Amino acid sequence: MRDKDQAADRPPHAVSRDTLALSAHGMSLAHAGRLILLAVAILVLATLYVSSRALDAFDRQLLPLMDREAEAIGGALVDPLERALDLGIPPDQLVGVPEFFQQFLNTLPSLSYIALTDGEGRLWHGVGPALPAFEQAFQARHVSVPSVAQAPPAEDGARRATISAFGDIRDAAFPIARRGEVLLFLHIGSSNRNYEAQIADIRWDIWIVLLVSVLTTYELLVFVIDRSIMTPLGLLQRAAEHLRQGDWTRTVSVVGANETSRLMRTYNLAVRAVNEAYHRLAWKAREIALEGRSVASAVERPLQELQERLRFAPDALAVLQAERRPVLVRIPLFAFIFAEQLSTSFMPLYARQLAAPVPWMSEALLVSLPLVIFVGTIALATPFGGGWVNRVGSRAVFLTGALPAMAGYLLTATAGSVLELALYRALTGVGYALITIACQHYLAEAASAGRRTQSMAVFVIAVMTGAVCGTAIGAVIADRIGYRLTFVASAALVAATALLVAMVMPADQPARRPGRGVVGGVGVAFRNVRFLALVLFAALPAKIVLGGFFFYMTPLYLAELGLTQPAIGRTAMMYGASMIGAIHLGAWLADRYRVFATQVTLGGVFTGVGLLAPLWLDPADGMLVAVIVLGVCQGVASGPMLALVPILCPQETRQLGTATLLGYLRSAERIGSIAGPLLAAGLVAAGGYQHALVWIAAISTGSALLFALVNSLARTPAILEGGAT
Amino acid sequence: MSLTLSRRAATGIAFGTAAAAGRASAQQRPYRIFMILWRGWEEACQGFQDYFTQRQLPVELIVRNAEQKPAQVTALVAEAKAMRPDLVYLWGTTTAVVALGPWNAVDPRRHLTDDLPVVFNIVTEPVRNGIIAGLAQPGRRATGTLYITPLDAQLRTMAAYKPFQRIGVTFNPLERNSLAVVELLERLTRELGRELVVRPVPLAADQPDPEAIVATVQALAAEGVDWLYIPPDTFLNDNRLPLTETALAQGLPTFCATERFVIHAYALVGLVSRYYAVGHFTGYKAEQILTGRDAATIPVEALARFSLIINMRVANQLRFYPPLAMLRYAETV
Repeated sequence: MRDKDQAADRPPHAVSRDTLALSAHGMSLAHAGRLILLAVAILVLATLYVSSRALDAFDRQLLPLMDREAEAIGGALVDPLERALDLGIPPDQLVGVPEFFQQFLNTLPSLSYIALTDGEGRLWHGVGPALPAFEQAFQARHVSVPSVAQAPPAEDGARRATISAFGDIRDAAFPIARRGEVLLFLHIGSSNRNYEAQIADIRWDIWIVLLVSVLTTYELLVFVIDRSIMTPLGLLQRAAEHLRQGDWTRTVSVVGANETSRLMRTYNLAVRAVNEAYHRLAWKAREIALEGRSVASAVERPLQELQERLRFAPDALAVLQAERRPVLVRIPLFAFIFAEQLSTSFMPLYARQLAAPVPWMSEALLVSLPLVIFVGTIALATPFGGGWVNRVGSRAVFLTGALPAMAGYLLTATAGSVLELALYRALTGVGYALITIACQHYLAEAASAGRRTQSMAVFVIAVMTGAVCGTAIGAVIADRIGYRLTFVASAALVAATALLVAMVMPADQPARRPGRGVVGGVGVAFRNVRFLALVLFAALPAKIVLGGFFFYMTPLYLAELGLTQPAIGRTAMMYGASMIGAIHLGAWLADRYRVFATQVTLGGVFTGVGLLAPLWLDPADGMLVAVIVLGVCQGVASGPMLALVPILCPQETRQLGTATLLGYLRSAERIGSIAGPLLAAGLVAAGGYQHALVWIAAISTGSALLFALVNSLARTPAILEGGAT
Repeated sequence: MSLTLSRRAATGIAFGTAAAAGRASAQQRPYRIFMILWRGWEEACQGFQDYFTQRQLPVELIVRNAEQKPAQVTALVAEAKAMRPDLVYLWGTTTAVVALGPWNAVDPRRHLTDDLPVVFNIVTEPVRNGIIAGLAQPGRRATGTLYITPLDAQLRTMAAYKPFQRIGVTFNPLERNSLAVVELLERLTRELGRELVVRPVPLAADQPDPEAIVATVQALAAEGVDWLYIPPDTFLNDNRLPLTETALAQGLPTFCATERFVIHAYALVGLVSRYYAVGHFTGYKAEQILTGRDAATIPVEALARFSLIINMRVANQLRFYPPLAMLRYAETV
């Protein structure tokens, strides 16, 4: 989620040439896509069916359970009442009934009321928030009471209640008898709403699990099909193309599953057979020429023609290797981000749990430390990893990165204080930096085949899908097995991912280009005021909001509002989910209207407006709105922000290259990610969550407006808003 | 392998049985317990005896009744010294005070000394009465049980049944146990900001006058007290019927710390340790001493659970009913 968008490095239309060249390839791609969709559709249907049956069963079992619960409570209340009557206390002289009921209500706050009535329609005593509603329904005779015939308790000793419903309340009425004579009725009201909230929570959990399993299955299918079908077929296709051009000098490396590898062996056999036949033929021709027979010239001509049209290996056959396919790195990246984001919805809560007061720092600030140190470590480790990956290759860096990541998660699970937690998160941060840089490097290498935008899109999709899945399911897992064990799950997932990478990622990684010096161009780049404005008023505040509001404040504030851990996870998940859609929307808007700067401005402005939603709406709902608005705005603005770089600095781009300028932008973003949690923590400590929301909103909106102002003042050519159309 | 194991297990069982048999044969003579009672055999003594029956611990009980005479207690102490039993059992506060004397000023001529271990039962405030140094460490070879529920718990229960402003109390001014309780009661009611009306039973010829009980209760009722509190008092226990009948006639609810007033008279409610259960618990302390533990190291303790007893006939007659919540745990008679 943090470094996803080098995709716009290149204008979108640059792809077309490659697509053309791969049109034959595209056929099988379309087929594979359909196959995957079919498989996923079947899976979704099956899972939907199972889920709905599970929910049905749940409903079916829950309702009787609810009645049993009411009966159990009823028994505990009826027994003392009947005992009092049996002891000769007249019904109108029962002492301390409301207090007695209130005691129950205090321990079972889900009850709407407890009331005592008699057969003549009088309400003797009652407590509970919904008592007036009961009184109304009771006077209107909407509440049924057991007939005297029902009075004796069931054989098993349990009290059987007469159930009636009014509004959203279920009333369970119990007869209270003295020596068989029913004198009073006890009513216990429970609101359906409470049960429905519980059911809704479980229903949500099921949906989340469904969503995550479908997305994960999709990723796995894409991977498996690519590896076992697409890669070998693509290779064969390229080989066939060579043959068509008369080039018989290469066999292919045998990859893929049984059927395809058999096919490739057959192909290799055929190539070898043809080469051998040619060599035999050439040898015979040479023999004939040596003998000086008259047929020699007759043989030479067709042989020459053959040599003109076809090429054969002079001695050994070369081996055609499979292309680096971006998809190969997609599942490891997805799985790693999945593992990392398991803790997104509770990281600050975990930190607060560990926070012991220290004299030199407020608790709010202390809690932000693990986030800050994590992002800070990533910022420091990434340039180092970038240099290193050029020397040793993606595979080695990925596998090396998995070690500190795993160790970090395992240690995080055992952390005893916030400082320990921050230290262990730094370790994970190193792993995070190495793994993401390894994946980016791999994709960049794969893109040398010409599909740069596509392969960077793979990066963004894998990161965002992993983020959505991890955030949502992480909260559900943590709710069931606790924070610490969830980190162990992260470590296990990273271990599995590393194993996969070790198995599938090719080791050879030729060093292609030296690392570029970034520092030299700073002066040149920032003399361009509009680039400076883009960095300071768009890229930087976007990450401040992300780090401060989303990663730091959202879990803490939602927990303070009393949301359950899964509910916090659902809210946090909406950032990634809305961002996935919004990235596409943003790309479409940019493509159609070429309004890059406007998108960036509006993204910042509306992020600020959205952050104020918790002040206007119910805070929990408002936070959900704020998170969704943030995802949409950042999604819509992220592509255009990068696309703006070459547009705002045509000269500097020629001088330094887009990559260097993007590097500056990214550095600013990292500073924002570090500053965000610190700033938010300071604001929360100073004046609470709503206070912090107002300030962060002001930063987002204010800086967006500043960006627009600077941009329009320094406006020169018409390219800015695409005067072409 | 499994054979060896099972053989070893069998040997172990055989050995254990033999050891048990050995202990039983070594204990051929039952333990002898010399019991000095204040007013004869009752529930606490029964609980004490039943404990040994249940534990199948052979004991021989030598039962002596002091008939509420301190001089008789002193005579029985001499008899115990001559008999040299394994343990001396003392019933009641006065018995214990007379037989044991102050823990730091034991007179070997009159008091039981450390060569005879002692267990005491139904004793009020043993530390305040000076017979032991402290509850955790008795400071002499005498230990026992507490049977009076803590006074603050009693006051809380009283207030839970019916909040009060004034409590009346009557007692025998010659009984140390009663004096100790009334003194503590005065302090606690003062702390609660409530009033305690104290009316000791008048003396006639240096003895409390049973004839004066009715007038004393009537006077308390006339002062408008909300509750009559009855301390653990042997004199009042002997006269419990006129005492509680008068209170009932005056419409005055009575609260007491011992069970007999509620169960065998007309007191309304009591927060008590059941005598039988206390006797049982005392039996456990006695067993510890008999099986070799030094009595001086055994703490003096109360039962962990109290009983709330309500006399419903009295409640119905007074039309003074306990709150419903109380009925969940109260015993009724």
